[in-house]
Amino acid sequence: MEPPLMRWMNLALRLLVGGLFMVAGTLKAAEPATFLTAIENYHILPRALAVAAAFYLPYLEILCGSCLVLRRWQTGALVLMGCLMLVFIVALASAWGRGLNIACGCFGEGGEPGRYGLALLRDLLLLAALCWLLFTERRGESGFPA
Amino acid sequence: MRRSSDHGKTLREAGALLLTAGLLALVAACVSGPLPTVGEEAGEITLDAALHRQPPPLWIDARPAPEYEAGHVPGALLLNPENWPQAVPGVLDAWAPGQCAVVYCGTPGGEASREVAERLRAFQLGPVFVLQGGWKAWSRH
Repeated sequence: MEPPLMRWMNLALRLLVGGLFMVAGTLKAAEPATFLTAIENYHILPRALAVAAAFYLPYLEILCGSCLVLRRWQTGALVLMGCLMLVFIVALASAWGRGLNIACGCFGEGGEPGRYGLALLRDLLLLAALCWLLFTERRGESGFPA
Repeated sequence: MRRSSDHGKTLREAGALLLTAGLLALVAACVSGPLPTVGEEAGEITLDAALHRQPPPLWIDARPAPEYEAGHVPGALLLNPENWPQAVPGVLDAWAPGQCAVVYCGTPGGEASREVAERLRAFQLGPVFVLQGGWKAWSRH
C-alpha cells in the first residue's frame, strides 16, 4: 500500500473510532442512571462498583476518543481504548454465555436486548482498528503531523 | 533504550487519562447527586432474573385482551386497567402469599404494567415487579 493512501486510511480510521468513543461516552455521561441500569443488568459488579463505573467509564471514553481525534497522548489513549474494548467483549460474551436477555448498553440507552452477535462483531472490529492504529503509530506511519 | 522510553511515555499518557477521567467523574457525581435506585430496588426485573426466581413468579399480562389471546407467557393471567374489577379476584386467588408477581405489557414505556403493578402492590401479598422490556423481551427470548 502506498504511504499516502495509508496515511489517509489511518486518518479516517482515527476520526471514525475516536468519534464513536466520543459519541458513546457523551450519551452515557448524559444519562448516568440509564447506563447504571445497563451495567447492573450484566450482574457482574456489586452496586457500589457499578455506580462508580457508570460515572467513570463515559468520561474515560470521551477523553480517549478526543485524544485519538486530536492526536494528543495518542498511544496512551489507544492502549486504554483497547483495554476497554477487551472488557466490553468479555462482559458481552459472559452475558451471552449465561443466557441473559439484556441490551448491551454500549451507547447508554436500553436498545434491543439479546443482540450479542452484532455487538461482539462491532467490538471485535473496533479492537482490530485500535490494534492497527497502535501498530502504525509505533512504526511512525500514522502520517499527518500533530 | 528507545523502546523502554516509549513504554514509559505510553504509561504516563494512560495514567494521566485515567486520572483526568477520575476527576471528571468525581465532579459529575457531585453535581448529579445520588443516582435513583434502579432494577429490582425500583420494582423492575429482567426476564432472566424473573425466570430464575424461586418459587416461580405469578405472571400478569397487562396488555389488551386481543393481544393476550394472540399469545402470552405460559400461565400468565390477564389483568389490565380496563378489566381490573372483573379480573382482580381471580388474580388474588392465584397469588400465593410471598410469591412475587411479574407484570408485563406491550408498550415501550411499560405504562400499563406500571399502573397494574402499582395497584397490585397495595394488596401487599408479595413483591411486584415490572418486566424490563415487557412482552417484547419475552417474545425475543
